[in-house]
Amino acid sequence: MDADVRAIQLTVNGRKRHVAVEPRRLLSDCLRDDLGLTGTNLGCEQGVCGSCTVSVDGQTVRSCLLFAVQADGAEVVTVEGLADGGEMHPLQAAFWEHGGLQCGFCTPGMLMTARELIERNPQSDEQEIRDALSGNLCRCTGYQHIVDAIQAVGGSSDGH
Amino acid sequence: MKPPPFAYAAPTEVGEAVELLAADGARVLAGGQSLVPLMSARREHPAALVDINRLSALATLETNGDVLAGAIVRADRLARDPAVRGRLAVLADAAARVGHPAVRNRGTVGGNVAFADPANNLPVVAIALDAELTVRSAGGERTLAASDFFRAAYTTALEPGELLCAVRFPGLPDGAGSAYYEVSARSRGWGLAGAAAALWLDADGLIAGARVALGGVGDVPVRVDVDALIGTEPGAEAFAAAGATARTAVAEPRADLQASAEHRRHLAGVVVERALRAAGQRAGGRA
Repeated sequence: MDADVRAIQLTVNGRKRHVAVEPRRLLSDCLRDDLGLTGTNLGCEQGVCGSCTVSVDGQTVRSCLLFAVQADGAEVVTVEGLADGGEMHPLQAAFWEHGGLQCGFCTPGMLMTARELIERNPQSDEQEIRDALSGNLCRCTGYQHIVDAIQAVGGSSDGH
Repeated sequence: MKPPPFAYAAPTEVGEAVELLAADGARVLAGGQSLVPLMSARREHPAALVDINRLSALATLETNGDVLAGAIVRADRLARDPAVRGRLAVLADAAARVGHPAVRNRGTVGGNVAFADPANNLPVVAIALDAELTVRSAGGERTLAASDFFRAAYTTALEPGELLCAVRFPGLPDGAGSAYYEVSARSRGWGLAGAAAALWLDADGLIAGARVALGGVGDVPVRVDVDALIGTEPGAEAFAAAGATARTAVAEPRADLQASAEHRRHLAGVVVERALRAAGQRAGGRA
């Protein structure tokens, strides 16, 4: 059977990438297996856990719920695109400082979600942070240190 | 699991989209937040997906009086648009309660309404406000009333090949307050029950009119009869009475792993009372 394969082009972390994919190829699998960017993780593949969160055209999306062909022509940012050369993104540094990760599986998704939150609201209080993270599940940390890390970078001065 | 193969098209004109939808087994791909998980679980096997995300004609949002939302307006946009919040706070509230940020970034008005999951928020607002739905197919266009639209769980009046193009949420009288209130088992989880409420006051500060709809409790959203509120003081007593009415609005509440029928019956009263309370606080330009 001849598969219907489409040539698509996406800009990923600033670099133009060309791939040939079936329409059913999920963006998550395209990033991980076709482009070697395994920072984006697959926790549930049902759009519930948030581990697969990336940014497409400036907005966070669950990459397991987007077909790669839908991202043809789009600008994609993954966790690999956060650090600047050898320097960690402020959020990454804050997660490190505050112990916002243990196994690290949810962390890329957490970082991408936190990045969007801070862009939209540079002065979030704890409730706003927790609300924004509601779609990113963590089995290890109990979330407190994740919240602390995000508050350190983009929290309101009197939030606690 | 991964989705099964399908034919894929992403038209840029609505006319092209409805021609493609006329084919057997063709389904609409909007936000994908409900459909793609089903395909990944292999519970849905559409032969073809018509991706409507490039139909710019369906991305318009008008807020002069009514709120007219094109089918691919995202929940996030409805939630954060100041004009929507100003005109129909209930709609902004309901959109803001859709899932999580990444879900709202992709989830669409059309998808939320057409998928008709009993737990979805926007159908409840559509029923409360008597929304109008514009639908197109290769055969033409028609307008449906929200009250005729939701037939059963996951089942609407859409015929095969029809594309929901826009939803018109009628505006409320000047000074009306409106709100959406939802209860879920965990923060921002699936709604167990949700209520959309709107009310407006007369010159003496008594309730002149009210609209309430209840979702998540039955298979489809239902209006709750709150005529008894008219002429009363907008306060705790009136709203508690409306909550009591709401508990009998659905004869057999849905029961599932998330909540028993009894629990949903109880929640029906809670969400209606709290939605009315919030609407009351916003009415007359207060709060």
